[in-house]
Amino acid sequence: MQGLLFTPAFELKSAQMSLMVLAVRRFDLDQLQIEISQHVAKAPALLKNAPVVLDLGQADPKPTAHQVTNLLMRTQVAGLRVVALVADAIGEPLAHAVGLPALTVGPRRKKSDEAPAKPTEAEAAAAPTAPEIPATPDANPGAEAAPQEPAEDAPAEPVAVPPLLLPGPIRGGQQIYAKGRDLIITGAVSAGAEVAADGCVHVYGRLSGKALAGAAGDVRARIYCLSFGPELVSIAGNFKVFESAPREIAGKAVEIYLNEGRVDVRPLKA
Amino acid sequence: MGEVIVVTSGKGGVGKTTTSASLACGFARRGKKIAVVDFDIGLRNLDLIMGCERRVVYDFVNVINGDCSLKQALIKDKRFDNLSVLAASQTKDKDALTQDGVAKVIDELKSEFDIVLCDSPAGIERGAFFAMYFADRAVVVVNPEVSSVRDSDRVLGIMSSKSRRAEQGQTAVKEHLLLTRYSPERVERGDMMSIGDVEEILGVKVIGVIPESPEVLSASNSGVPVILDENSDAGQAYTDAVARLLGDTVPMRFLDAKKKGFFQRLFGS
Repeated sequence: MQGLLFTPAFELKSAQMSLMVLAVRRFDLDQLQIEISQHVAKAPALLKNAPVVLDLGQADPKPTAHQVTNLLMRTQVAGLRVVALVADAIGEPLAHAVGLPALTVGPRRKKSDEAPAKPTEAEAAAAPTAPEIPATPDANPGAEAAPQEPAEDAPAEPVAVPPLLLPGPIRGGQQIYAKGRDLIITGAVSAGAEVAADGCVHVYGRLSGKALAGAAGDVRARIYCLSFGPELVSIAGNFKVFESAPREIAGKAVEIYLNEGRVDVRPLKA
Repeated sequence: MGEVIVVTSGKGGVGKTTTSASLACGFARRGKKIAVVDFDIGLRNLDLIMGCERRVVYDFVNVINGDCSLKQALIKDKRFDNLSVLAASQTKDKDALTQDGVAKVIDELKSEFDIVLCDSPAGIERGAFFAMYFADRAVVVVNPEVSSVRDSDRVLGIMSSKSRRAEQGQTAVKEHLLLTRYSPERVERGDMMSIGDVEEILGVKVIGVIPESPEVLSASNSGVPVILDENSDAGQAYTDAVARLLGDTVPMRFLDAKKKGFFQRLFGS
């Protein structure tokens, strides 16, 4: 061990980080700035100054290096820090041009693209992908609609994060947030209560308050409840307000999911 | 050690003080040694309903401030030897309540009495908070209407997360609902929520239903808690509620036909 004789001033270590990808669909600088600001304003504690990787692979129209520099500034003003570009055919040359590193997104990225709920279209949604992250809510089977083979090419089998399990009822005025995991409530959620999770939200009782799944931006997160009657449901910041529950789903056991960027509710078959 | 029972609701005007006075007399009539404490500092009412307003010399705040002993401040009821009233202060405000001060008074009362009944003010601020903080059981007074139910839900939430039992990780405060100003006819017509509606929304069992009754007002005005009026429906319903709180099994009365309620009609099923 050389350390016994000589301690180097630095160490190069391998580390895995979880980063959000800002996938641009429509390259409209003004619109992007507005939508990103709004998105950050919804969850400032989580998103304000969060580092993101810019994905221009789907951007339409294709931006020039000058426009990308402009976007970097606007993104920062809107509250997100672009730290790198996704290294694809479009991103790599642009990354060089604007002086940022180009990052290759890990194999799990593909899986997230295949996920049933497509990321918000025509919106700069901060779709969370999980390049080589162990232990994120997306490792949870509940997040996937279709049973999928565990990603064989994933570096290491992620360890499941236990959900936050609470007995109900959650009463009006109470706020619950399950950070980085699913939330399970074995009881009712009263009107005026708020339950949120970065993963899925399960309510084994009547849901009368507000429920927010994918609070950190996971568009695959879903909400389940035994009796539907919420004031508001939200998935990855896409929300829907119910003045009164539609007759065909009121009081029913339902699944709430994101369908092409829109919050959809469907009854669970018995 | 005595048991602390809070009478609370969140919303004002639903009948907390009327209920506190009647339950206190009911427990006393069943032979329990009981103290009833008015937590509505600045707006004291319990002494009026109990008919002892002319005999208030010292009050709750005086005891906390050490101006007098607890014994000096407790007013013995003229009808029941085993019933005492601790009045609220009319001149101070609710900031006069301190956690240590209230804790000391409650603990002293618990060592002296079988039941310490805390009459909570409306709202969820200091007075209401301290009234429920030390509770072992709670009687949540609800009117069968949406705003009262919502406020009760809020209070139940605060109790389950912020009471002393919750903070110390003991078994939760035992919750009971007491439905007041219940009108079976209006429930039947569908313009008042039914017992089932309220129980379903709040997820707590109803321990008593007090029918809307003109005797309640006249009893309050004359300083004789309505439970002592054996001829009134409300008085008998309170007697039943006291029995249930003491563990007896008593069938519900004054409910009439059980028809579909307001919400059930609205949403079907």
